[in-house]
Amino acid sequence: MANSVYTFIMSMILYSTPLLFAALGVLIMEVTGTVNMAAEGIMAVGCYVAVVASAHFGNVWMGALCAMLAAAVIGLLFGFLVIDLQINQTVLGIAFNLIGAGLTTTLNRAFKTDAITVRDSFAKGPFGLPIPVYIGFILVAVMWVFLYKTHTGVRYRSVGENPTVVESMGISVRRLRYTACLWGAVFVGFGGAFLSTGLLSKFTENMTSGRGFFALAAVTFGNYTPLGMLAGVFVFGAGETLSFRLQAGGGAFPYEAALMLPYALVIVFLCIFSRNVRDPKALGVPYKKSR
Amino acid sequence: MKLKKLLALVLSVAMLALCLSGCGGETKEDGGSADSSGGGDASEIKMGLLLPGSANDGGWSQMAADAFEAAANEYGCTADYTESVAATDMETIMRGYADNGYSIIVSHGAEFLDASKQVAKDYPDIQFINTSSMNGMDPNLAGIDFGSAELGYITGLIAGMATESNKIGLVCAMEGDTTVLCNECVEYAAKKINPDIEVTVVYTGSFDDQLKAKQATAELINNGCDVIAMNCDAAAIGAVQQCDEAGVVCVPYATPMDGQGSTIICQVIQDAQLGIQVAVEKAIEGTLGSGALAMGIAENVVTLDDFQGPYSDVLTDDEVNQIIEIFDKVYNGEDVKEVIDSTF
Repeated sequence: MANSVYTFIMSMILYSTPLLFAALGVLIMEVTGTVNMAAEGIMAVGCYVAVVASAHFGNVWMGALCAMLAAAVIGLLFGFLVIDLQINQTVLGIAFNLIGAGLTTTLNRAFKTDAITVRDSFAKGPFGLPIPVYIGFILVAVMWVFLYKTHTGVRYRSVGENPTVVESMGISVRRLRYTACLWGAVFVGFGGAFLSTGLLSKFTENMTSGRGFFALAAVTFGNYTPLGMLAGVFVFGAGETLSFRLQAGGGAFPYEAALMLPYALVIVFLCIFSRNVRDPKALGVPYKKSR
Repeated sequence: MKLKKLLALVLSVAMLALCLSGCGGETKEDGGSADSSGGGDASEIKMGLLLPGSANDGGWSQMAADAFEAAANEYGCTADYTESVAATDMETIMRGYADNGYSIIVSHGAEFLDASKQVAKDYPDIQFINTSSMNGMDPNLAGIDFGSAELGYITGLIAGMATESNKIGLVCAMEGDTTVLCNECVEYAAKKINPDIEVTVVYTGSFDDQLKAKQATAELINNGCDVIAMNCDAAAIGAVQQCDEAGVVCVPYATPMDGQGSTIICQVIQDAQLGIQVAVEKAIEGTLGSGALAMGIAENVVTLDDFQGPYSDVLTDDEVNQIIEIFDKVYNGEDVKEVIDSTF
């Protein structure tokens, strides 16, 4: 029994890690008032670039670095479009998802990327989990300290609540939101990199399978806080692990119900906790600097 | 401000172009040497294909797309396909093909059967083909069975002989008529080797998600399975990888997994490409008709790969020879179930 619980927890943590990084990225953008519906597309690009670069350099960390750089470029482009050009953030997020899927599909077919196998792997730490898993946990703690215990963190949260007040104090809303887009995309890109080269070793089309959207759900579920977001990620991860464990147990549990479990859990928990969820007031609202 | 608007316009056009270049719903047209067959001019025939996944998935969908391309090249007809068709779009896309003069419409997978039946009755002059279906065909709706039972029996024999814990795990994407039949045959054959063998099936719900297949495999291994067989297209790569990491032998069935893992002891391959090509060629020549077109080992639609790799010694030479002997008998026309029943 104890061993079963241990393997369940380890499995849940390991397979939730790509989602955790994506959710960290979504969180930092959303607390500053930028809706990040583009995580799925950015993650797909991260998956693709990480496989190509890891195979090229023979090192998964180099692959992850390249994935983060590619994601950073996308994040800055996203920031430019929503901050400077003030394009509707939701619509643009959907467009970026389509671009991410389309671009990686096109490149994969043009360069036969799915034939590449990454031979290197991330070193393992205590409990046999890869190092990025621990980095994920550390980043959650760092994010909490940053948002709630530092001046810059307070500015980040304030810009998501009332950017006019922040600007009146002589702080650039534009710069804060740009840096949030940059870091947010970097985290999401690393999530994609860990998915394709940390947990797997190949790129396949549509391999993100909606994880970017679940990152968004986890952030909302967690009331835009790092610890709440972590809980949201683990609810989904636990549901997914349970769905396979119930089937693998060989019982008469219907597989349709098992596969529905993670999604049903997220919906149930969202219903329960949604009353307490309070979106940042300026979330999705373009900021126009007063003259 | 004008510059910003211009920039926004340019970026929007660029994004639209990228989206259109890579996303689902892609229509590809193939055409080859002009040729005619039967009574009509085959080069004027238009064929439409609906795929459940990507035409580049290295497995199920790609085999159908390649079969279409081969038929188009041989007969010089027009062949278009639509990728990653969602359940909500099946009927609409089929009707779109039908209304636009396509005379042969192939839907690839049992999940398209209900939609095919709905549309086929409204277009009696069009030949519909649903792959992986064996029952309930209408006069203008044919099915193809790619030897699902034979695929299952041979996989079951290999897995049954390889297991020491008497626990076999199957990782599949979705439940369908042919998948269920195939898995029942795996269990039947494995239990013929040893009645104590337990076969557990885990469905992942996805043909693309490698991670889910990997996670499902890890759970089966945690549960004591020492042989894993996988049948979930491109996603099976994740299952093979997990077997590799855990040092558990595996038997990919249906989609080939060449070079994906060192613990593969043998593969039982379902060549849907050949099956569809035969069916489409019959449809072009007007000889397909209704009912199910059954193919299998004897038609080379189900083939047995070599027993190789560092883990292949889990089977003795006698066991390997026994499997090959049974396979050869079926190839020469004997019924696989009768051969297994008489052998074990």
